[in-house]
Amino acid sequence: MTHQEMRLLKTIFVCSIVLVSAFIYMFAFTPQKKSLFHAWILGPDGSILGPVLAIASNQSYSITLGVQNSMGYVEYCKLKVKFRNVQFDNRPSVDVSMPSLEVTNFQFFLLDNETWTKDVRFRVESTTEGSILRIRGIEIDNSYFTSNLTSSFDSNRNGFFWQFRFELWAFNTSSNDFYFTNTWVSSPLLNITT
Amino acid sequence: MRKICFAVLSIVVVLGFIATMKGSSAYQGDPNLARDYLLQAETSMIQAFLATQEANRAGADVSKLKENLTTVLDLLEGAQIAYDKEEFSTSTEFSRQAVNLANEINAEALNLTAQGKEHSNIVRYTTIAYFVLADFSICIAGLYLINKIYKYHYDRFLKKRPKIESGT
Repeated sequence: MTHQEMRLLKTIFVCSIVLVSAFIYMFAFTPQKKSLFHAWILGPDGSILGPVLAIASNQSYSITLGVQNSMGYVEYCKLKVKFRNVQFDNRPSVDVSMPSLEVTNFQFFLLDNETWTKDVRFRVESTTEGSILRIRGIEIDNSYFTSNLTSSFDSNRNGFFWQFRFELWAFNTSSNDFYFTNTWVSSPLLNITT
Repeated sequence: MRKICFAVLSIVVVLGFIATMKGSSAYQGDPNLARDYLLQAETSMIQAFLATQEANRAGADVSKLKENLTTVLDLLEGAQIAYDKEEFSTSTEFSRQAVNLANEINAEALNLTAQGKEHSNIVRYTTIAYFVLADFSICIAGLYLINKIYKYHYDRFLKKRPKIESGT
């Protein structure tokens, strides 16, 4: 090995050390953006809900809602509670907010990796007129919403089916408005009987 | 007897006055003022949130500010409920408290942002300094090792190699 080759080897060695340390610094000390919210729905006492929940008119039922912030920073969230007619509304898409009726909303602040949970009681007032079910009112977490929604009898599923959809919206600091985070959960199908 | 009649009459007049005042807008407060305060409280809360998130991005611990923001949200909810019930003076008072607390959060968040930026700069430069020091040490050690290997190789193989003589 000549002296020139030796010098080249030393230069390559020093350069590789500098490059490797620069890469380590970039990957280990630059915060990785996560940009995620998680939402879930459980039954009373944390039980897992089935696909269909038979509910009677004017009876109270409870569910537990949960949201976790993994966005990296503190967030201002709004969980919109929507009520949809399963028979007529299209199947909800992941990235589109449903144009269904907004019954109420829950607002809260969440730190990074913090979880928000809430036990929510709901009650649906309905009457049956022949093969038509009329929703008179929806009470959710002490806020009452008067309605005049109707649905016809679903002969395929054998009942009147409605559903709550909980959409998570977060405050966008750039546009100074809430945006849909593409995070949502739906309640089981509510088979409403009068 | 006259004194008793006078006392009863006074009580009736006072109760009547209270009942009248309770029903009047003077007791319930000014709806326009309550609406203005409600809007101001909402704006202040948004500003406080933006400042808090900025402080969080700067690396500050904002858990206390988040608790206070939740209190502001509760006050705003109370103000809105009072407004819906047409209890405008109560609504104004809730909104006023929300504005004051939001302003405090804003000031604290700005302070934390400055501190957080300063702290992250110190951390960043210290880390870079450690990396440079580590690089320097590894380079010196590596170059020393390369020289040693080269010298060993040279002494053992190249130096003792018999020279090939040309001619004769």
